[in-house]
Amino acid sequence: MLKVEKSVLELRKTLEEMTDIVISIVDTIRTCIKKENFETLEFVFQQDRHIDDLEKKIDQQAVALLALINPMASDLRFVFSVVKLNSDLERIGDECKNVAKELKTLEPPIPEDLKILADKVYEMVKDAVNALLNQNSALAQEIILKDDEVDKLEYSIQKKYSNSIGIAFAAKALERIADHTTNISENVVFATEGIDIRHENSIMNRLGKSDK
Amino acid sequence: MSINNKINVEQIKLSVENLDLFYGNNHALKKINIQIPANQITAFIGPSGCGKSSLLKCLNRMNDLISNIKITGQITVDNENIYDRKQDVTQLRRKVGMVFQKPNPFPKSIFDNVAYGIRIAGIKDKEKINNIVENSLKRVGLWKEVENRLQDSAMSLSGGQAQRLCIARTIATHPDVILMDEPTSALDPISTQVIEELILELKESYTVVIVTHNMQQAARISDITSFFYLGELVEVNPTNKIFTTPENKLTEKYITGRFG
Repeated sequence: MLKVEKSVLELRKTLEEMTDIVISIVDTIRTCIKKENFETLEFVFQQDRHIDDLEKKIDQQAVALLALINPMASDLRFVFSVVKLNSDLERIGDECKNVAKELKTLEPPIPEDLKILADKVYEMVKDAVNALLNQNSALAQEIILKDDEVDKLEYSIQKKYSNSIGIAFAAKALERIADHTTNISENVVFATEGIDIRHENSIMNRLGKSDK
Repeated sequence: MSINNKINVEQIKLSVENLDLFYGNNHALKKINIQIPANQITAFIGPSGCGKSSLLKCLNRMNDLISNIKITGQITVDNENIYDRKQDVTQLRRKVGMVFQKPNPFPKSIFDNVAYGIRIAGIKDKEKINNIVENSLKRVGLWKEVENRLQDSAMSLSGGQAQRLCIARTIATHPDVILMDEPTSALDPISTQVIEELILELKESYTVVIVTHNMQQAARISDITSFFYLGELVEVNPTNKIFTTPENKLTEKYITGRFG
């Protein structure tokens, strides 16, 4: 195996450790909301330290890789994208803590809408990690399209439960997690195709294709 | 550094059209078409034996004396066919100068090395020659190092100095194009850096074509990179594009080191 392949593989392994934890805490949040049982929420706070350490480790590995191995083309794009989406993964961890804090203030029953939102967000995180680890651009693009649904649902929850700060804040944090998954997906599209689709209005513009 | 993903083709200095080159039965260059813009640095990269040096040598007809060579197609410099029967080859090489892999100063004084080409070109005025020698040496950043020993043998210079002398010798005759065949592969890292900075300055006044085995060097200094493989031109694109998002799978493999 080439040195560059080995180094990229090592970076990937650390990244997988990170994504495993991120998925598990988002799953914890979703399950707690669904079952209206908050006993396992401590797990989310316990993982925080671990996520922070992994965030630093990924950056260190990426910087060393760039300095010592000089990756080019697809390797370069992968490393660059990992540096960027690394902070999105860490922020997902933070938002999970925010959701957990709000949940602790709530009493069942939990509104059905929030359960649906948590489900959708969990699916997006799972798909984004899947797209990332398999460098699957098509899947990444689907995730970006789903973000609108989450925004609408979150907006309706805000309106409906404006008298419950806990529910409103939890919904906001879940919506932010979805935003981070679209950032991750944008980076996956860049890594795989070399196209920068950030800050474009329509998805077709984003992908450099005409709407016709 | 400018982020440029399109080649500016407004001013084409050199144009190669349907060029085929055979060494005996060996088809070394296959239907090469490439346009080289003025005042830019164009790098040729590719594995050994891919034809990049052969193509470079065609650009000022350094291949002419090789026996068994057959070249078809057309190369134009400023829209004039350099393989035309009427072409004065000496004149061509004055217009299209060359710097080689190993510094090759003549066994003469530092001064005479730089003055060599202009004297041959018929310039006799001593003051004019002095001026050109001084300016050329200043241009390559060698003047301060040698101004007190211009009559010393050029063979006394270090590798990096000797290579800069060769570049001074090339630009003394005011070429339009400078061809460089791995100009730093025999030099230490510091001398390499000095030459690279010099090449970047030279493009203000000259069109530079450089063959390099060092991909990082192509990435650092060139505006346009062309990738050759087995006698074919696989991809030409702005250097930024080649090293971040190459179009061709073969280029991708070569650039990322996954070759063969």
